[in-house]
Parts: sequence; structure tokens; C-alpha cells
Amino acid sequence: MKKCIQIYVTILVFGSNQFYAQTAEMDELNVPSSPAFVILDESPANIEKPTNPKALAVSLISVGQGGGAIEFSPYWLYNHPNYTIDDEINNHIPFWQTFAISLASIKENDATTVSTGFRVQLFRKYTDEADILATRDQIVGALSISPPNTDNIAALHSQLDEQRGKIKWNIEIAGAYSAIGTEVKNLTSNRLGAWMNIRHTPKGFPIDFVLLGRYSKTFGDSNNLIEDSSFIDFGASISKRTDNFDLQLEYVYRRDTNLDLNFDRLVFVSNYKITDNVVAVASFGKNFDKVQDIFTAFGIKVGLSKQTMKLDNAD
Amino acid sequence: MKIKKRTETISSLINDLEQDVLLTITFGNAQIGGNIITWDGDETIIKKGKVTNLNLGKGSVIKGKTLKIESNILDVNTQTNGVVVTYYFNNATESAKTFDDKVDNHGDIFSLTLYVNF
Repeated sequence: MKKCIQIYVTILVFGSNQFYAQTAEMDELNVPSSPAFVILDESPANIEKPTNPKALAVSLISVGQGGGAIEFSPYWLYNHPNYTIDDEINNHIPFWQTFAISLASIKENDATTVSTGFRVQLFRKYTDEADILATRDQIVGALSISPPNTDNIAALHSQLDEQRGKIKWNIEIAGAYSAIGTEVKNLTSNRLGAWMNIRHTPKGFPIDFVLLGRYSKTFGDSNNLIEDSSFIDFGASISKRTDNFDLQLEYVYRRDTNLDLNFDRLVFVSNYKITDNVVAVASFGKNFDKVQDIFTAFGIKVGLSKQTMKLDNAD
Repeated sequence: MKIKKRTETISSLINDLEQDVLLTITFGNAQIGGNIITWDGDETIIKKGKVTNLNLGKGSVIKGKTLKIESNILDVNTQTNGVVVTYYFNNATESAKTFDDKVDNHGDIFSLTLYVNF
């Protein structure tokens, strides 16, 4: 199981004070990969990823006692001898195969915040299934030589990953809930979130389209000193990505259901990869604020990670 | 990329010596696998690649022989490092035999050499 860890330092060259807030929200048209961690507003330092029932039990006890984070896919806790690569490629409703649960708990002072979330793909169709199957056949051929040529197989594997990364249609949903309290019996609701994402990458057309619906709610305190707040967002973006640059135009319509107010935001962002670890960023647009809502920003992101950078993760 | 190797031996009786014995191999967990099949002691390759209903020969002809199957599985599934392969024999007492294992890292290869004594 692979997980790229990338750390960036952003050097602001010129821009408004809203730059950091804007860049932090730029990825909000994506369904979060680990909803339970997003709803906590925390990035756990260590995420347990159990791959069998026994490891899951150990991780659950660990999180329950001392705090921590777990992410797992119930389907993949067991082997599936009859689920072949052909089934995977032709499976357009991979509900069980992509259903993932995230759990986290954080102890601060006397209070503990616990959160749980899920993410699942409802529909998925690869851009070119014929190309994927052709690469699969090449890999089968390479594996049918004794001993296998590992360099050749690694190259074919990279090619396969790239082809499987191109998805023509993808519909994903996610949800998360968190509660806070000093013990289980007095836990009170803290935050709630739900996301739905539709992505379309037409074959032979160099632009991606994304639609997102999102609901988020923060519960007030029991003394009514802080009121509940909730938002409904609808967003859309079009983007063009190549090896060296990334252009994205994003629009978000937000409705504050408590205050009965509407807001919107329009942002244009460009990233240009100068070297493998340095990306120039420029963004401008209109923010949600009703006054002084125009912003511009230019900056440089410097990657501290030694791992290869991917532009689509740069935000 | 590492190759994790394992060797197993099974024995399987033939149900009907007058009938052919067929072999099918499937790779689960959405992983990709390839095979090299020979008779033990003979380097001639009977079949390479995907194996579906491979005719190993008439029961009376293959009785007493040992089949050598080398199955190489590449971990292409980002959700699990588990690999699982099933060998289905038609007209044999051991009609299906499943082996599972785990590679250390995504992209590694699991190589299983299975000897089948008929």
C-alpha cells in the first residue's frame, strides 16, 4: 500500500492577506480521502492501515485507549480468490471494493474528540479500458518468463498505473461525523460533513470537469452560547493538467442555511513546475466575502520531500 | 521490486484414467499473474501465460508424472498487498487448491512454484 507524503513550503512573493485562506481551500472540490481526519481539522502524524481483522482489532484498541487514527477498507481485510484484475477493470460500480472507513480520536486536556468517516466510489469508468487490458496482457507475458525481468515489469506496472489513473467518469461520496466529550456517555455532536463528487475526463479532450456538492454543519454548545452553523456548497471546476503546468478555474456557490445568506467565489489558479521540487503558483479571483473580495497572489512552493512530486497533489 | 519465492507440493489422484485432465489457474485480489508450466524433469514448456482449461493429457498417460507450475504474481492492487492464486483441476481428486500470501511492498512479485504429483 503506497501513500505519498509531500511537504511544501510556500513563499509568498506578492498577494493579499487572504492568500493562505484561499490556497487552503483550493482543494475543496475534491472528496477528502480521509473524511474522519478532515472533520477533525487535524492531520494525524501516524495513520494505522490494518490489512487483516487481527491488525484491525489491535488498531481499534489502540485508538480507543490512547488516541490515534485508522483507515481501512473492510472488503480488503480478506482475500478474494475469484475477484480478478478483469473483474476490477470491468467493475463500474466498485462500491465494496472502494468503501473505506476512517476513524480518529484526539485527547486534549480532559476532553476527547472522536470522529468517523467513510468514502466510496459509486461509479467508475476508466478512460480507455482497452489500453489497460492490453497492458495487462503485456504484464502477463512478462510474468510468464522465468526468472521475470523486473525492470521490464516495473516499467509496465508504471504504465498500467498511469492508465488506471485516467478515469472517464467517477462519482464518489463521503461523510464524516465528530463528537466531543470527557467520556462516552456525555459525548455531544461537534461537526458533520457530507460530500459528493462527479468527475469527467473526456477521452481525447485535455480538460477535466468536476462537480461537487457539500454539506457541513458545526454544532453549537449545549448552553446556546455558540449557535449551530451549516453550509451547503455547490461547486464546479474545469482544469487542464500537463507534466509541467496545471490550470484550474473554480466556482463555488455557498448557502449559509442558518443566516439565510448566499455567497459565491470564483478563482483561477495556475501552477508551473520549475523543477521537480519547485512550483510557481499564481491565483486571482473573487472570494466569498461581501467586501474587499478581490484577491491576487503569486508564490513559490518548495518541496521538502525527496519523493517525486505530482502536480495534481500540489494544492 | 522484490521477488518473494515459495515452493509447494500437492498430490492429486485422477478420477477417470480414460478422461483428459484439465487445468485452469486464476489470480484473485485483482492482481496480475502469469504462469510457466512444464512436466518435472522436462524443460519443454507446455503452456505460458494465462491458463484456462489447459489439457494436460489423458489420465492414464499422466498418472505417475509430476507437473511443475511456476506462477508469478505482480501486486498491482493499491488496496492490498495480499496475493491469492487458485488451481482448478478437472477430473482430479484435488479439484481446487488455493494459496495465499503477502508481498512486502506494492509492486513486488510473488513467485509460487507448485509441484503436482498425479
